[in-house]
Parts: sequence; structure tokens; C-alpha cells
Amino acid sequence: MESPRPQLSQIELQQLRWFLGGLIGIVSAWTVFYTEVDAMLPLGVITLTVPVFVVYPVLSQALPALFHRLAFPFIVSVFALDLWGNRQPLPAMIRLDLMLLGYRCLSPRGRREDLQLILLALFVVVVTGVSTISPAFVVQILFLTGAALGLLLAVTLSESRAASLADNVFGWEQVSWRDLLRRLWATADIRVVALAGTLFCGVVLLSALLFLALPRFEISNDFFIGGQINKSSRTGFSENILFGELNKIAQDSGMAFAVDVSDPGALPAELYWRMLVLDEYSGQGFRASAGLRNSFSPSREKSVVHGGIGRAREDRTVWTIYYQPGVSRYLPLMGGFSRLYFGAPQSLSQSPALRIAALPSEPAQMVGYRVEGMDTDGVLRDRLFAREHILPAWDSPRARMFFNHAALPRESAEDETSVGRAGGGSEPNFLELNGVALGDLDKLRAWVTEIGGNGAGGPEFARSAGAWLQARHIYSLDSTTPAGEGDVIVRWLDSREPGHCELFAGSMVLLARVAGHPTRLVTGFKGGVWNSTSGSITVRNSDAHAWCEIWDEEIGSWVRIDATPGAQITPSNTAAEIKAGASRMEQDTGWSARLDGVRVFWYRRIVNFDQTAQLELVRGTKDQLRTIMLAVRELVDTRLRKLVEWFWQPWRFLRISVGAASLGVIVAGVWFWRRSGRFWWMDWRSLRSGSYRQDPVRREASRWLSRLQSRADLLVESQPPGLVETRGRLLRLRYGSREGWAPPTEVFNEARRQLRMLVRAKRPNSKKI
Amino acid sequence: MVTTLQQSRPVTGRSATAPEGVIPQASSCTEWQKPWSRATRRGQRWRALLWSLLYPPRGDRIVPTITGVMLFAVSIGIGTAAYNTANNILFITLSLLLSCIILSGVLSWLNLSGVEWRVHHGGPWRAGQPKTVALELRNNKSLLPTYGLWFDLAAADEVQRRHLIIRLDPGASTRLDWPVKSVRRGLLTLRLRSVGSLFPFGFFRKSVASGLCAEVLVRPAPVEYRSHAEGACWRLVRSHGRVNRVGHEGDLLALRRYASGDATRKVHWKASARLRHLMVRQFSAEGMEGFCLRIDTDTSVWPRPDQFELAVSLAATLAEDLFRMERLQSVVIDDETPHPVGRLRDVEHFLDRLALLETVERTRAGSRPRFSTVSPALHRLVLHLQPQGPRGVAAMLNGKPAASA
Repeated sequence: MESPRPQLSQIELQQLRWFLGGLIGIVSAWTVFYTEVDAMLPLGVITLTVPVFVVYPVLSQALPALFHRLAFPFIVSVFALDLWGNRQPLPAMIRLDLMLLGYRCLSPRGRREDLQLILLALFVVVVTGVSTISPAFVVQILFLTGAALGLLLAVTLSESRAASLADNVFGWEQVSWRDLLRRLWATADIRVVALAGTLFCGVVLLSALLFLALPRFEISNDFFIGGQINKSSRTGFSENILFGELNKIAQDSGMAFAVDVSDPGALPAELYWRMLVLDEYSGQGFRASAGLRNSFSPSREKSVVHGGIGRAREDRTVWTIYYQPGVSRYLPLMGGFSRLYFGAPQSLSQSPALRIAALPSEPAQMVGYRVEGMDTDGVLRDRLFAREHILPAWDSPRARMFFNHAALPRESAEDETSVGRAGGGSEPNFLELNGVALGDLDKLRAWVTEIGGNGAGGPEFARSAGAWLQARHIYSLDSTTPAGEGDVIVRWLDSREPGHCELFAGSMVLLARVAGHPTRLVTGFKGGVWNSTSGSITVRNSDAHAWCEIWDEEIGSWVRIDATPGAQITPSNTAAEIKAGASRMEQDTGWSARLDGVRVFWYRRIVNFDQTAQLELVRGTKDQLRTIMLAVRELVDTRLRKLVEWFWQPWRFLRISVGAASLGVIVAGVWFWRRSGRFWWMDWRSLRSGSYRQDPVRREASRWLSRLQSRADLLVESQPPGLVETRGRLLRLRYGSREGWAPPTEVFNEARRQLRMLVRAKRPNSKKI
Repeated sequence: MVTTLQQSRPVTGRSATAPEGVIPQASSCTEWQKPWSRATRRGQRWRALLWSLLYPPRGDRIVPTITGVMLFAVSIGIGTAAYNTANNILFITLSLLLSCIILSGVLSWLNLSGVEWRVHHGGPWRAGQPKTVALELRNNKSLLPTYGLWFDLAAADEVQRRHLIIRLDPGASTRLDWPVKSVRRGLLTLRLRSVGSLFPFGFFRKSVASGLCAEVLVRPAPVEYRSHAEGACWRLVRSHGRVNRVGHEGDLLALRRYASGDATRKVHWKASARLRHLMVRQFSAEGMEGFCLRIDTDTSVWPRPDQFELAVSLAATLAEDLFRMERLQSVVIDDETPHPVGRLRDVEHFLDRLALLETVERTRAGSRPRFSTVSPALHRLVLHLQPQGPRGVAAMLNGKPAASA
């Protein structure tokens, strides 16, 4: 019997291969778009030509032989020139891969060329995934896997067909995609397609299990791809910013970083993520002075960084930060910390006095790190700065509280790197106003006088100045500074124009410095939203913010000042505010929140999955199993105990009735199922079974026939009446057409009766039938 | 035509010169065979499957193709990089590659499971004449088709491969044909060596040892011979007159018990009902007096093997021709008692014996010639095959050549 469904011809298989190969080429080439590799030219060529060639394969035949002859030498020459010119092997290899991929998609392919195409696509997808660590990699690699398996299947079937029939593929380039689609639909069995989909899901699941189960141990930590692609740096979070640059970052709503908090209840009411401290006013913005830059220690590769100056050492809250590429090389931190962990050894330079940590360059991929004992209260102590600048206030009660100098003599503060020490040269000056003209300085002095607070401490002055600023200006992202000559800040202060955070913070710095309070500008992020999908904080680029820190002589610390309208000018020190909890945060519940949740899951469970996480997973699974077992055991014990208690209670009429009725229902149910229910169920399944051999009624009839046969063989002398008829009816059920069947339930019940009679007849003391 | 059929176990120790009646009767096709048929008992399948992963059955082979080698190379490369860098992207890729290998194995197993095949080798085989061996293939799965199988059939020393055309739907069956030509008489062993597939992704060339074996008896090839009709021998026979013998025509001679192969129209129903078993009528056939065809296997008679082969072929050809002319009365090999030839089955039995006939060195002391006990009248009608010259063979009748090849 031949199959009624048609089979794909050799030409159709070849067309399918051509389509799948082109699809793989285009999709894999576009993964490069997510990297920082400059490959727009080959990518553009592939994007423009390959779809056209896929739709019109006849074009591939039209390419002259010279094209094929010169293609490889040309590609190799371009690669050599690229390598020689740019000195970057990995980007050059990616561009080479794209060129080869494009050529393979354009030229006719056999089995070998199809394999090359798959390998080239795999290379580019994996390299892109490794260099970006993006969740999109999962989609890309799964698509590539599915398409590559489909292509390999088509190749195998095509070769099988070619071996069995002498089909030629002449004219396969003349393709009608609509007809091919119809043929595919006609040849496909929807059940098989569904099964294939299920199997592919099974592959994904199996991959996930293998990923979790593969033993993890590191041979070395030579991350050979990660450092090969340099990310282009973004202005705004650099050592030299101009007013308005931070505002541009705030226009972007992309995720800057996500934060996992071990104790969401410990979240403060206001989250200020410090990234960079700037001290020098340039007239157009702020920059880090040479002294400030020198305060950073040289880069060292380490996986654990000891902050040593976090006051929250007793705080067990662990912050895990997944820092996105393309933001800055400075890591967002809220203040001092006890320890900072990286998954793998990482080069890091650090300024403990500024509480700033920086990577050597802007990362090309997500960087995950864990922080313990992080200060979140917006007060940063600086012993050395205090020793040099606030000696009069050294013995104040608040300074005693923060410095704990009774236990720590002044000499022991040598271990802390003070501002300017590491560089050994010039020191930062947080009172400097070099960029301000004399005329503007007079205006500033006048405003300081207007604000008042002369002789007061830094925070008090900041509160007054902040109120003064907020009374004169409103907040707006679309702020403009009035045209004219002179300092930008002074012109803005002189006006009533709205302003953005940089203008408020910059104004505060200038006013405070004029008033004699050491002040510095801080850039970073403020706030974030609570993503309930992932249970983490999402901080977006739109949360970019600038504020300043003013020196509090009384406590010898830098205190956060945020003069931007809507913010609390000085940090709150009430317990309710310090530990407000996640419930007080803005909740993010939209689709973007779900996507961010997926990304955080990707970082949390996939990218950061290591040996420790594997052990934790094993322990967690074991604990879960144990918990389930204990729960089941407890449930069974409880039920048994209740049953025993119920049994030993006095048996009254009602209980006896209920018990007997329940037992009767159970017995009747079993009896009914055995007598009729099972056979009805079988009959129902039989009606829906398309297979002769798998028909449950036929199989049951076969079982009854063999049972009767095994018993009837022992009875030579006589057989129970009706046995022959029953056997005949069973034979009809087994082999006959469905139209000739007696009701299966009756036949099986009759067979059961016959079998019972045979069993009785076999007993030695039973009566002869 | 008689074949000896076996499954998974070839015949050993069969003597080519087996005495009469040892050649069993069998059908022209083998039993259905499944892949991994050694573990078909319910409840043992999974155990056997797991064991077969550790200790693959003899003959089962999994050889990586170029694609498979590349997959392994890529997996090793990515695995090395993953362990070198502890990068989870690479671990994901490695997991996917390993999963693809496992998927390939599962699909390949599903592809082969539920498939059954058997070999049809058809009717009588003659040496030198092409025959078609058919492999009947059916897919007993209820959902999944079977794709791209190939079958390696070995006939004698020649191995031929046949491919299944892409797909065999669930519940469907198909047939693959092999043209096979045996050049020699005797037992021809048809062996389905293996069933293989590249399905699904062509990573591995998997073949399952089949062991399905069918031994086909190849009768001697017909030869052209020269009939010496001008001699006196044939006339002598003709002048001897007509005789009545058991046959299909003429008067009713007797009733006998039904034997397999008797025509149902010969059944005597009244007698069968009375005696409670089938009885058939036996008629007298009127015709010319027949010959007794005799061939010796003594090596002293046939020192040259090719001459003996020619003699066997001539004996087979003469037996068929004489039976067709209704002039074959009996056949004799060596000195045994003559076998009367009344039906086609007797001729076929003689041809089957000729297919296995070989020369033997006869010791005079051990043998007891029984043919000498037959009547002198019969001796007069014996066509005795003897060498003629260095290569030829002649059928001698009363010392004169009646036919030669």
C-alpha cells in the first residue's frame, strides 16, 4: 500500500534548502548589529542582496564564473587589510565571517556548502552572544538551532531521495514559493509537525537541564573574547561633563542596571547611585581635577574588593548589581561598602575616599557584581579631609558617633587613602571657583547673602540655598539658559528659567563654595522602580541625575544635597526613611517590566550561574524534595491518625450507615468499572483509534481468546456450553470488520463467564459440566 | 522450488548431498523482522535498550559522518572554551549541541522502531536466470512516519543497497525490489545484512544488524541439448506400445487418502464423508511408455566438476522435457530405488535434489546397489547420463546416445 500523502521531490527539497540557508544567513548576520563591531558595510550588502537572491534563486546561476573565482581571494585580501589596518583580530574575523556568510548565501550550495553556512552562522551568533551577554542570544541561538536542524534534515532527505531515485535537480531555480508552500502543506502531517515542535521544546528543556548539570570548574580565566571588542564611550558619565549632557542620557528609557536586593525591606526611601565625583568647575560644566583623578588606585585584577570604609558592616543586605554595557566605566554604588565581589577576576581601580570604583574601560558586556555592607544614608565620612579641614569640630558628639575615634586613634587613619594622596601631586580643591569671572562672583556673593546662613554648617546652608533655588526656578528637562555673556550658571541663576538637575546641582556647588563650604558635584542615578516580576530594582538611563555633596564640618562627612525640585534636599535620618522597603517604591508592572524581568532572570540565573550557584541549586532541590517528603509523610500520618481515631469512636447507627454506604459506593464503582465501564471506555477509544493493530477492543479480544484457549486446552472431555459461540464472537472482534461486531461489552462479559466456568470445571471436586 | 528459511540464524552443517526427504518445505518469504528483535519481550525492552547503549549488539554500528565529526569538533572546541572562560553563553551553546546529539539519537530510534520487514524471494529459482527479491516493509507506528532507510542485501558475495524513498507513513507498507541472478545451482543464501539510516540530521551513519537470512534452492540451469532422434533408441521405445499408469486421465483405478497438493476436484466427497477423512480418486492414464532417467554421482565417473555440472543441468532439462511429453516414468540417482514420477511435484522434487547433488567417492564395499534389482524391462528404458568426450555429456539409452549436451 503506497502512502496517500505526496512526498517532496528532489527539486522541492533543494528549494527548501535554499530558503532555509538564506534565512539562516540573514538572521545570523543581523546578530552583529547588537555588538559594537563596525560591520555595517557587509551587513548592508547581506541585507540588500541575500533576500533578493533567496526569493529569486535564478540570480545565483546568473553570477559569472569569474565572480566565484575571485570571491575567495578578494575576501581574504579584505580580511588581511582589515587586520593590518585595525589591529583588532576579533572584529576583523567577524567581518570576515560576514563576507563568507554573504558569499555562501549568494552562491549555489551543496551539502558541504550548507555545512559551511551553518558553521559560519554558529560562529557569528556565539561570538555575538559572548561579547554582548544579551538575553537576545537565547532567541538567536534557538532560532539558529531550529533552522539548522531543519536544513540538515532537508539535506539528509534530499540525499536519501537522490540515492533511491535518479532525480535530477535541473531547473530548481525556477521556484514558485506559493506552490512550494502548498506542497509543504500537503506533505506535512499536522500531528507530526506538532510532535516536532514538542520535541524541539524537549531539546530546549534538555539543554536547560544540561546547562544546570554540567560540572563547573574553571581551568583558567582567560576571557578571550570579552576584551576584544571595545565599546564606544558615552559622554555624560565621564570625567568631563558639560551642562546638558546628563540631560541627554535621561532621554533614553533603556535599562542602565538592575539590582537584586537580598532584603527588599531594607531599601531606603531614596536611592542615590553615585558613579562619579567632579570637583573642578570649567564654566561650561564640571570635570575631575588631576588631583581627584590621582586619588584612584592603579587597576588591579581581583574578584573581591575590600572597601573597608562602609559603616554598614553589620548590615547583612547583599546588593547584586547587573550593570548594562554602554553606560559608563564607573560602577554605580550608593556609598561606602565592606566588600565588592565579581564573578570572575576583574580589573578595577578604586578611590576609597570618594567611594568610587571604575573599570579600566567601558564594558562591552554586562558586568555583574555583588556588594555587601553598603552605606545608603547619603553621608560619607572622610577622616583625612576632616583632619585637615574640620579640626575644631572633631570632638562634637555627631563626629564621635560617625568616626568612633575613641577606638580609632588619629594615626590609624593612615590606612585610608585620602583625596590626593595616591597621586602624590596636586590635591582637589572643593572650594575652587576658577571658572567664574569676578563680576559673576560678585553676583554669587550677593545671592549668598540673600540666602543667608553665614556661619551655619554646610547642610544648613544647603537647605537654605536649596529652598532659595526652588523658589526661583522650576524643574524641566527642556530648560534653556538665557543668552548672554558670562557664566552659564550665573546667567541661569539670574533668570527665572526652569532648569534641569545639572543646573540645580551646579548652582548649589557654586553658591556653597562662595559661602565657604567645600562642595562637589556627583553624577549618577536617582531612584529606580520596583519590578515585581523579577523582584528587583530597575534603574533606567532616564533616572540619570546630578546632585552635590557638601562638607559637614560637625560630623566630618560629606552629606548629599539634592537641590532639584521634588527631591529632599538633605538626606533623612529617620529609621522609617532609611529602611522604607520596596513597597514604598514606584512599581513597574508593564510589558517592559516583564521584559526587564526576563533580562534580570537571564543575568541572575544564566549569566551569573557558577559553581556556587550550582551547589546552591543542588542544595535547594534537595531541601525542596525533603520538604515535600516531610509534608507528604505528615499528611499521610495525619490522615491515618484521623482514620484510626474515627475508627475507634463509638459506632452508632448513623456512622455505620455512612460507612456502609461509602463502602457500597466504592464496591459498586469498582464492580461497575470492571463489568461495563472499562469496556465502554475501550469501545469509545476504539472508535477513535485509526490503527487496526492498536485497536483496544481487538487487543482485549486477543487477550480473552488466549485466556480461554489456555483453559479450554485442559478440558478434553467436555466444554462448557456456549464456549464455541463466545470464541467465535471474540474472533470476530479480533479479526472481523467493525460492522460485524457484537457489542464488545457483552462479548467480554460472556467471555468472563465462560472463563469462570472453565476454572470451576478444572477443579477436581467440581461438578462436570 | 524449496527454500529453507531462518531468522537471525543461518543454516549450518547442511549436507549438500542430503538424502531424500530432508529438504523441508517452506514458504517463499521470511518471517517479519523488527529492528533489535532480540529484545522484543515486553518489560525487557527498556533494559535491553539501556544495555545496548553500553554493549551494542554485534553488527550494530554508529559511525559519525562528516557532519557528525564537525559537530563533535565544534562541541569540543566550545566545551574547551566554556571551561576555559567559565562563560555561561558558551555553556548554553555546548548544552544545545549535546542536546542536538541526543535528539538525533532519539529521532533515529523512533524512526526505526515500529518498522518491520520481510524478504520475498518468489517462486522457483534457476541458475543463470534473474529473479527479483522483494523486501516488504511496513510501518506499524500509529503516528510517526519512517524516513530514509536503506537495506543492504547480500546474495552470495554481492551486496546491493536499496533506499526507502523519503517517507513511509504510519500504517503504510512498501516494497523494495532487488534483481538477483544466481550463476550456480545449490543453496543461495540471501542475507539482509543491515538496515541503516542517516536520519534525522546526518550526524551518524547508523546501521542495525538484521541477520535475516533466507536460503534459496537454485535448481540447475537449463541447457540446450541435441536429441539423437535418428537413432534407433527412441523408435525402440515407441514400438513397445501403450501402457496404463497412474495419472490424471482414463478409468478410475482406486481411491486413496488426500495428500497435500491434490486437486479438490478429485476429492470423492461421499467416500470422504463415510470415512471421515478426505479421499481422492485415482485415475489410470493412458500413454506412451516412459523412461527412467538415471544419473551417477561417483567421482570416478565424473572426474571433471564442470562436466558433472553439465550432466546435472542436462538431467534437469531432460526430466522437465520428458515430463512435459509425459514420458518420464522414474528418476534414479546412483543405485537407489527408482522414484516414480507421476505428478509435477515429483519432478520438482527431483530438480531440488539435483540442485544439491554433488559427486561422492563411492566405496564398493559399503554400497548396496538397489537399482540392479529392478526388472530388466525397465533397464531397457533407462536414460543413463555419462560423460562424452572431455567436456560433453550424453544420455545413453541401451548403450546408444539419445541426447547429448
